[in-house]
Amino acid sequence: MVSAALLAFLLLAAAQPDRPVLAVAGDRVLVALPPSILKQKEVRARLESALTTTFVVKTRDSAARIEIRYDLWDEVYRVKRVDASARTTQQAVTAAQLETWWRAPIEITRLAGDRAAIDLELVVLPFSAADESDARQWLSKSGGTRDPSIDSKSVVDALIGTTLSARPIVSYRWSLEARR
Amino acid sequence: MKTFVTVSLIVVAATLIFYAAVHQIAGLWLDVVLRPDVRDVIEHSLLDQKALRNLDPANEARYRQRFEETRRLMNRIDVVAMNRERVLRRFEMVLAALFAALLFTATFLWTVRQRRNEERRRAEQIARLTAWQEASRRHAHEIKTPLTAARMEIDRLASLTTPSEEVQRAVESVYEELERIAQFTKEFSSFAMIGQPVLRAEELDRLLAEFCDMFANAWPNLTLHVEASPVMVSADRDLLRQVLVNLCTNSAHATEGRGTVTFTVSRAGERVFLDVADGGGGVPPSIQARIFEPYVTTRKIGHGMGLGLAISRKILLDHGGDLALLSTSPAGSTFRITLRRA
Repeated sequence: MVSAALLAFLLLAAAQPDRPVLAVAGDRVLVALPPSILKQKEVRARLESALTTTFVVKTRDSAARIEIRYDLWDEVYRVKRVDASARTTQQAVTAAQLETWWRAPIEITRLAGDRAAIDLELVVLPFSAADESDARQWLSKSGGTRDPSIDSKSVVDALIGTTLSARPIVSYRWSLEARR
Repeated sequence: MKTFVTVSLIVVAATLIFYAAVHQIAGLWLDVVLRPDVRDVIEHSLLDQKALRNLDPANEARYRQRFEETRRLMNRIDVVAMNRERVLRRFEMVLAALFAALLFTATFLWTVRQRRNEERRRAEQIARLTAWQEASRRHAHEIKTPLTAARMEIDRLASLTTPSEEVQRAVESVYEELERIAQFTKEFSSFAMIGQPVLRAEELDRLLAEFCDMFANAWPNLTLHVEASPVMVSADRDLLRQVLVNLCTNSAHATEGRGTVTFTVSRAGERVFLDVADGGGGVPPSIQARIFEPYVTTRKIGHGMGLGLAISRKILLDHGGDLALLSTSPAGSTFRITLRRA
């Protein structure tokens, strides 16, 4: 009984990724997400698809976003970061470079004092808003009219629009402390 | 109310059947798109475009464009596949809701149409009976004038001479015939003179009890049985009593004054039904359709003009209610009085 509980605990611990690491640069709080997240079974499966896997990093009052899409044609990952200050960077990285790129810290919030407790949440979505929008339009055309003179943004669009959504495939929460 | 419940149950059942059918159909078209082999073909197509690029580098841009189009299609399918159950559920719900709305609308329109037809039928019946009333009034008037003159003349003739026994018999015979004509004229007049009801809230059960006491004196061997719980109706007490007298008199004639007449009261929404049932011989099929028309009767000539049911129906139509022959057979008849609840 005890050994079974111990085994379950070990399996659970093994399934959990490492904790992120916070750093402070000026008043900017940066987070380096652990590469073990990319190795999680559910996440790895999504990264192998052609959809844009989206990682939303949220604090209480701000959010950053990381998008990764595997480009089947060039066989590289198209990666994009949008930090808490809405600065966007994007590039293409190889599979070997992906982990290094992933380790690079991203700004998630601002620090008001010398230290702060930060509740961090990471939500992994199977596709991006752009993927969702594209699929929605495609499905709307299938259900709606093909006549361009008729406005098809009616019942079908409303129906599909609120139906297709990216539900998190996995999410994590950490309580961390940021200090200068 | 019962109709509404029935219609609602039918609509719900039809919607559920429709929902189940839509589930099959919607699932079918969605699964056609989401079949694994469809996705396999798309994946192979992607690989083919890449292979073509290697074989024909000069046209790489073209293959790239096709590749991207195919990739987008695969992405769309993947997004829809991830939301398959939600898309299906929503699709089915919207269609079922539309179906239910259509069904309810159709039922509502049908009900309105039925009600309009009913109102039109009532208006026609009232108009027809009113026309009969007017004709009766004229007949009564036309008969009364010469009748009065004839009476005066026979009075004068009787007073002029000392009549012989033969003349006396003739005078008495003429008096009797004039009296019969006067009785018929009176019936005409009673039909012509039906007043408009003055509606008041009346306790139907109490009114029935009073009526039974009163009517028992006229037909001592007739048993009147009342099954009624307290209910208030909007009625003119005198006119309603006249209707009951007409119906019970007919029942008494049908049972030769020795049967049982049962009054049963029931309610349906704003309407109150009073069923009057007897164990008489029933209404002959040949006159069932015309039973409420004036001068339609099963009695022998000289034993009533067949105005009672016409008068009764006119009274109840003027009440905003109705009188109908609910059922009839050789074992008896049931007439239904419909009144409005007060």
